[in-house]
Amino acid sequence: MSSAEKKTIGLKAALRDGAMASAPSFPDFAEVYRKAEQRPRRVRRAVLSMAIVAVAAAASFWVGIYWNNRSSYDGALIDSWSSSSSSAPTAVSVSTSGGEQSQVVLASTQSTAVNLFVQDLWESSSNVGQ
Amino acid sequence: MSAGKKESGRLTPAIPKGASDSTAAGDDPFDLELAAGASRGDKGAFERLMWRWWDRIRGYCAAFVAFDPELAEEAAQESLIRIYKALPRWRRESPLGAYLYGICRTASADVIRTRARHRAHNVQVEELESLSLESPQGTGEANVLREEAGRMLAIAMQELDPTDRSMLYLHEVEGKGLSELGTMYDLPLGTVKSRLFRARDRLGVLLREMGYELG
Repeated sequence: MSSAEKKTIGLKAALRDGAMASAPSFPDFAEVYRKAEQRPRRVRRAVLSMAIVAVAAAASFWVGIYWNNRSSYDGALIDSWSSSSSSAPTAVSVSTSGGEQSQVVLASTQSTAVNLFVQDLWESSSNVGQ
Repeated sequence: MSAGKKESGRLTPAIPKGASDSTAAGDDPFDLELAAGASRGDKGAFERLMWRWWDRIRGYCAAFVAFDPELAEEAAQESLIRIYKALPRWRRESPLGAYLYGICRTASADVIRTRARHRAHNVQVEELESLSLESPQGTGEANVLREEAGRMLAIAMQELDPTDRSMLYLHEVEGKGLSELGTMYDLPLGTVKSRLFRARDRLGVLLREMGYELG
C-alpha cells in the first residue's frame, strides 16, 4: 500500500472510541454489593476449613505419638533393650522345649536396630527344630 | 501536535507521598465528600461517586485489557467491587483518582491473569485480514471505516504491555501529565516518558503495517 493510500487514525479519538465501545455501559451495583458481601463469607469458609484440617492433623499427630508410646510401654522387653546403654541387647535367649515351637511376637517401632534384631531372632527361633 | 509540547504542557508538580493537603487540592471536593460518605457505608454516596467516575473507570479498564469487551466488562465490574471494599481504608495518602486507578489496574491485571489461565487469549496480527473482512451492517461508509480503524487499533494495542497501554490511554484521553503518571505508577519521570514514547512508536509501526498512520 502506498503512503498516499494510508488512512489516518487520530490516537486520542480512536482510543476513546475503542474504550467506550468495548466497555460496559452501566455499572451493576446490585452485583457489586452481592459479591462484596459474598467474599468475606468465602474467606471465612476457607479459614474454617483450613482450621479444621490443621486441628485434624495436630490431633492425628498427637494420637500417633501417644499410640507409639503406649505400644513401646506394652513391649517391656524392648523398652529394657532400648534403655540399656548398649545399642543392641547383650544376651537374649529364646528356647523351645520338646519340639514345640513357642511363638513370641515382639514389636517395636522405636529402634530399627532392635526391630532387625527381633526379626532375626524370630527367624532363627522359627527355624529351630526344622 | 509535537509530543514535546504536549508533554510539557501537561506537566504538573510532583505530589509528595503522604502529604494529604496537596492530595486534597487535586481532588474534586464533591468527590471527596462522596468518598467520605461511601467509606462510611453510604451506598447512595458510593453509587453517585461511581457514576461520576464511571466513564474514566470503564475506559481505563477497557484500555488495560486492549478493548476486549468481555474482559473489559469483567475488569470494570471487579474494579467496582474492589473500590467498594477499599474505600473505607482510603486515608487520603494519595489522590482519589490515583487510588481509584490503582485499584482498577490491579483488578484488570488480575482479570487478565485469571483469564490467561483458562484460555490463551491472544489475537495475532495474522488474524487482521479475517477481522477486516467483517463489515458492520446498516452503517455508513464513514462508520465502517471508523470501526475498522478501531479494530486495527485494538489489535495493535494487544501487542503492547498492559501498563503501557493504560498509561497511554490516561495520557492521551484523560490528559494525565507525566509526573501524575509517575506518581500513579510509582515510576520516575524519565521512565514514564520513555515508556510512553516507546508505546506510541510501537503502535505507529504496527498500524503502519496495517496501512494506517497515527494522526
